[in-house]
Amino acid sequence: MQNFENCRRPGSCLTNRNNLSAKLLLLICCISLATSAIADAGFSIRRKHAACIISFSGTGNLKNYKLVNAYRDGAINDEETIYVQEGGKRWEESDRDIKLLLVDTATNKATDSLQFHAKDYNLHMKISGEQNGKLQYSMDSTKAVYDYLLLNDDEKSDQFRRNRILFITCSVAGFILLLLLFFLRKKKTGDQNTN
Amino acid sequence: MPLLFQLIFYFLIKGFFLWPFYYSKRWKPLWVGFTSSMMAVPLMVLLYHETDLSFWYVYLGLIVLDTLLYCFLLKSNWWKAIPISLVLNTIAIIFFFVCNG
Repeated sequence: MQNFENCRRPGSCLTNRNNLSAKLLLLICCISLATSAIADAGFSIRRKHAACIISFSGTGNLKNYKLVNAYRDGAINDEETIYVQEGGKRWEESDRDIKLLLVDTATNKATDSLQFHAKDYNLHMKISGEQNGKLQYSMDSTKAVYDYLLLNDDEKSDQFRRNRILFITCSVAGFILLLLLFFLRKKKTGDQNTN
Repeated sequence: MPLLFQLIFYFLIKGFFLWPFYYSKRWKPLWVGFTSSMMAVPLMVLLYHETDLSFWYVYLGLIVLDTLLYCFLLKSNWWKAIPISLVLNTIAIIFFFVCNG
């Protein structure tokens, strides 16, 4: 009853409506903030700890020779990928030096060796051939990016699904709040113009 | 680290830094900063981690969005809104990149 009486006074309904809107805004904010506290946003990922990958192409250009990883057995081919480090806590202790040997398949003796240090960069070795027992190659390097999955579509776990919903909900809540702010402003201006 | 921390830091950048420029509007700049952060931050995180979208587009989009918001919700002055939006979004996106690696 009191509310209806208040409405007879000019501007009082607007005040009530604004109070209601303020409460609604506050409620949406609280819900969004509370839910956002449990969604992992990948904040403070230390990407410098990413594992480095070394790949090869053009190993077929080596006639009568083969490229060998000094620390492992077997010849290197185009499909081979060397993971320098798998990431994780033991990064500082791990071995980052890669040593490759060019071996003559006839004599089975190394004619060339090269060693490089891999850290923070993925390397791609393009082998163009061999000259006088020396490996001819060029090296491309790209920044090694830590493969962080915020939402993994392949893995249907509850955590990823929940994160996706929370992200979308939070963003939509922000959008609705902006719309409310915009329309309340328009309403207020309109009422002022009428008065 | 949860999304909440990003939201808080974004609010500090886009809300509190905005406040002195529109001080006459009392609490409204804080509200605008908060709501625009709430809308943009989750979207930015999703785009950054899940897509290969160039962040120049996101950066420009945010500048345009914030300029519109400041003009329509705070004060209809384009020459004030554009530089403020540019500066605040630059600080915010540097913060975003530093924190997201």
